[in-house]
Amino acid sequence: MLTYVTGRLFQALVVLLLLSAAAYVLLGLMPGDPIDLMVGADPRITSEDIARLKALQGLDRPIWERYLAWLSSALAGDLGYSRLYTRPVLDIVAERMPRTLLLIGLALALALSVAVPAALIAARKPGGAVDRGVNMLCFAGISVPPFWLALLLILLFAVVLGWLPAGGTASTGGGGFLDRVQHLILPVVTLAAASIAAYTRHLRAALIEALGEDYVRTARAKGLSERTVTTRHALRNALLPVVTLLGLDLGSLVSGALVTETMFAQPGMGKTIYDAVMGNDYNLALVGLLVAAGATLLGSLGADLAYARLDPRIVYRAENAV
Amino acid sequence: MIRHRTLHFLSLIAVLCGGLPVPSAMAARDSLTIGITQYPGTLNPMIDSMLAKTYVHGATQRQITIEGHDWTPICQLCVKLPSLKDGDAERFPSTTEAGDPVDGVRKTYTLRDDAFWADGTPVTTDDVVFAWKVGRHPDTGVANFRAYKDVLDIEVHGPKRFTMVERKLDYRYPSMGDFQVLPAHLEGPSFEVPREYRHRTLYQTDPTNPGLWNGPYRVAAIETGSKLVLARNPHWKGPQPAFERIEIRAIENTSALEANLLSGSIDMIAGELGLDIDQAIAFEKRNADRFTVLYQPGLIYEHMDVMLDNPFLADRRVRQALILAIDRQAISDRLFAGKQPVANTSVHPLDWVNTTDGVPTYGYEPDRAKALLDDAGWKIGPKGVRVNAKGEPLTLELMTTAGNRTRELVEQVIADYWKRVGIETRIRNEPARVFFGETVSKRKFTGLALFAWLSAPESLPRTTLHSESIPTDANNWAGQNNTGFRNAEMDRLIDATEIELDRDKRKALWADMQRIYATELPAIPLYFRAESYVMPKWLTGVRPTGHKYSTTNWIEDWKVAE
Amino acid sequence: MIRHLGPSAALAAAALAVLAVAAVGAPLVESLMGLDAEAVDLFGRLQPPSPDHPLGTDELGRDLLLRLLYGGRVSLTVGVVAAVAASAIGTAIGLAAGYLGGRVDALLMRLADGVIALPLLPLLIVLAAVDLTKLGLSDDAANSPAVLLGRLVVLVTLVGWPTTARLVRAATLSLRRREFVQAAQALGYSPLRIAARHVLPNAAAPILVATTLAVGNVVLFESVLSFLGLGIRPPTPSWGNMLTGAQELIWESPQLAVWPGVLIFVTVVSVNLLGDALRDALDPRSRRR
Repeated sequence: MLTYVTGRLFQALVVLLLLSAAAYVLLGLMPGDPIDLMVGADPRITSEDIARLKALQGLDRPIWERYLAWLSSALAGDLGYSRLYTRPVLDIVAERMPRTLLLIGLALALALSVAVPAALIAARKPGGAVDRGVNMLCFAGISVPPFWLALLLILLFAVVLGWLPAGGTASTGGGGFLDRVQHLILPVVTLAAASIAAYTRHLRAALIEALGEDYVRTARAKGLSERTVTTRHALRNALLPVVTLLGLDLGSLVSGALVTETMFAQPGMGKTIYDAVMGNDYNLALVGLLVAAGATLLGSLGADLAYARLDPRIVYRAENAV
Repeated sequence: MIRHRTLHFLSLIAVLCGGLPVPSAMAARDSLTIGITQYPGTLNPMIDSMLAKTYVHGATQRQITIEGHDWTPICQLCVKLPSLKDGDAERFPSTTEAGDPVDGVRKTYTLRDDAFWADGTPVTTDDVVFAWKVGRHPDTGVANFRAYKDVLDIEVHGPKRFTMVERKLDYRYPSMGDFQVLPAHLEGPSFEVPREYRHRTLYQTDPTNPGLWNGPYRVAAIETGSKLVLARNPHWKGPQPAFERIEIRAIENTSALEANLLSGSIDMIAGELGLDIDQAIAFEKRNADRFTVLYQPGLIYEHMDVMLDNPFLADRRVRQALILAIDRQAISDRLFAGKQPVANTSVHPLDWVNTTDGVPTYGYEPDRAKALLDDAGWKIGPKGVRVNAKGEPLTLELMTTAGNRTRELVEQVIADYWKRVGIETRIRNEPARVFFGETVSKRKFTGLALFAWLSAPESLPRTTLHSESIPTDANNWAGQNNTGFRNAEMDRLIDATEIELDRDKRKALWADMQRIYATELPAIPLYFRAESYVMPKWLTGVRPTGHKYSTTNWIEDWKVAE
Repeated sequence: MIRHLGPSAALAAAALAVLAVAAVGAPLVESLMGLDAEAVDLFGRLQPPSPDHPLGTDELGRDLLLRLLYGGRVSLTVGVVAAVAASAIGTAIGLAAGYLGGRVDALLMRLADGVIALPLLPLLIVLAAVDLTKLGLSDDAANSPAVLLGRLVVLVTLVGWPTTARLVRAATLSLRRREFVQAAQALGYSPLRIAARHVLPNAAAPILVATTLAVGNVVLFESVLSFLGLGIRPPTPSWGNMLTGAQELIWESPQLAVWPGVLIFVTVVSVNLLGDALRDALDPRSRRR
């Protein structure tokens, strides 16, 4: 087991290394470099100034040379400065990551705590009225784009009802605990909505299937209560797809919460990475992307370990590791 | 049982949410929360030039001179603008960088006695000289590098008086342009290694240090990416501003921005970085009882740059047909409720050098457009698209910034108008970064590029229309004459205008430039964009300028109405 | 076949068929109505429904019904094609990884992780900037709507498969230890045969749920892309970019958002119901109750 985890962590490092190269090249292939953008802002700039500025930022060197330079200083612990914010990249990530983790953690917790009971009651009687109702709500959940859901929630809860703040992290002059919690509610609900729908659909399908399996019949025959059968036996096996999705979401939400962060003015990683990519901020974009990638790899490892716990038939041996 | 529990749960939510009403400015109005659509990347006045930063600086970081409400230079930190007539500005023989003889200028300014940094240190000539050193140093990589490099010397006469020696005398000489002042007493150590200045500057490492700010407000707290809190500068000696604190919040999505205003999370939306005009018009219709909406046509010239290297577009008749085929008045009236005036040239109607005398104007004349196209050899071919003698269809590529809803709508309207006269339009949009960073600046568009120039009043089109400003690979793509416009008479007029100090003579030169522009059409003028300022009824004194210096430069005049 | 699938699935199939026919027949409807889907009318903006315009007009005075029909072409094509393609690739990779295990598994899954972690945004921008004329396509072909649509489909497929792959792998890992699979192995069947005949049918539930959910996801993904300015180019409508454009007009003309929203909803519901029914029909063990 320990060998397995160590092997996986080593693989993750290899993937990260390859990704950093891929991301660097992709960023380099994007048209327009930082100085090109600066030229647009300063009409009186001369051609000598431009050449000097390009040399100053190292843009006159070929891309692989720049990548190697970046890599060697990154490995030495120097992740450099963000071009957009002219601050150390680590500071910016350290500042925004907690907010992102908070949002994602709460959203996934909310998604699970809604999806599991919803799927359980829906699977109890497939095709019944409750099942149909749950299904329709799920369909609605995946039919509304996140920016629309965000807008509708803001309009309903902030503008019409006035119960919750429309965005930001704290009120003007405020900043108490309750005030900050209030500012989290709408973004968390928006982030969770799509996950709730997907988890419920998958869990429901897996539960219906599991309830028809031999071991469940055996458990029933042993006279165990329906509740015990469902939660102890069926649910355990049915959680596989949800665990998979949870692992995937953990990583993809680090960079993928962009729309929610934009709509609710939350300074998180998604927005940071987007702005860095669009603003040609190599150092920040790369580190942001690698953090998101690292989260994905960890999520995937976590999911794999959870499989083994949920389904004793799955065994990981050291040979799985390359 | 279940119902009971549900009820309980609901009441809990109600307590959580309703128990704490969303705090707004309803208490005493000692604070003002402003919503803008951008968060400033850096707060150092020299590094890069983002609109959000200049908005914050209007309240916190004053300059020596800016442009006033009447679109002429005024003093901010100085006492009087120098003038050749008064003797505090004088000519001297100088040379250009290339070595040609030219008139230089020596101009003397006096800083206000009551200008202080917020830590109590007076603003002195040390700060001016230090800023010049930082700005002109080749390793600091500041924006507007030229503004500092063209200053040959600064002669200091005591703590408040200095003479600036500038390489070239031109009509803008009373103004200091974008010259910024930096607190030498704090920033000195950060500049010890010029290469590292942008990283070590206190504006980045310690932005709430009061000594960095000299306006009526100072930056008191920051939540990066989300908001900035401004507090009063205790050493501000000018008129006291009305609000104890100002909070500036960045909300990028304009629909969300509007919702924040309606819900009371913010008090007003800045016009400089706020709602689109059509959104503001719709907003005003519904909320005129609570909010005032001010519209200010600005120096934001929306136009289509024409790629003159394209043989189809090199023909002036085709360019004239393009503009005659569009009903620009209808676009302005129907999409923007007439708030955005149709442009005839790149010169704003409110700019004092604007003229209509002898400048051709183009109404909506589709028949004339068709006749011009016929005349240019473009006959209606199969599928209603015009073809030339070689059988090539008249297909033009129209590009703009993807994701800018207003521009994308206008673009589709234009394409439809052109279709009616037999011109096929292919729309290809790109994200702003690619569009401006590559396609426009490296002249990679093949047809027309729709975007805007933001400028100061009476700003000479040297970089956009002079033939020396055509970006090429050889000159590292410097210059903004993206259309490739070459006109010897225009070049001559630009050179002559720059050094003409007599207003009447300059106005005559400007008139000639406008006539050439409207006749040759290196770009198709569309309209001047208007900014929309959305404010609560209780706020007064916000006066939009229409140019790049924002309303916050007069923030001490903002008052709460009784 | 349809009767076999049950009434709700029949209804879903019918709804999808109607949408597909309407989208395909958009040009016909256009000529029957005597309108031009791209014709702008600045004096007839945001009109309520009328005999000329059954659903009214949009913010540029274009007929809303026609735009919805043309939008359906884009959204349905991208949604269905990309979802199915991503699922097919994902299923194959997931099966191989889960069944073969070991190094193959590690390699394929790290590839999947890498793709998920790949920076989507620069990729999109770079792909959008790729000049197809340099790849030998003619100028007209490179700018034809079909090619532009193809770009989007390829991209969504490329980034979409890992989800299915991981789901299928998880199911396969569990299945390959089951008695009936081990029995088949004992009988000496080839891995390919076991994977296809024994594992795949039993993994149908996650595959079908993932595919049908993906249709909705892809349609929404396209709208998020246009929210970011990277989606379908104007003037071509899609339900996604119609929704994006409608957000600033939410007070004046909610119908601009409601109609594409309803169509996306109907599509999502129909595809998912069909998927459920298909699973029931394919899966030997699940019985309708």
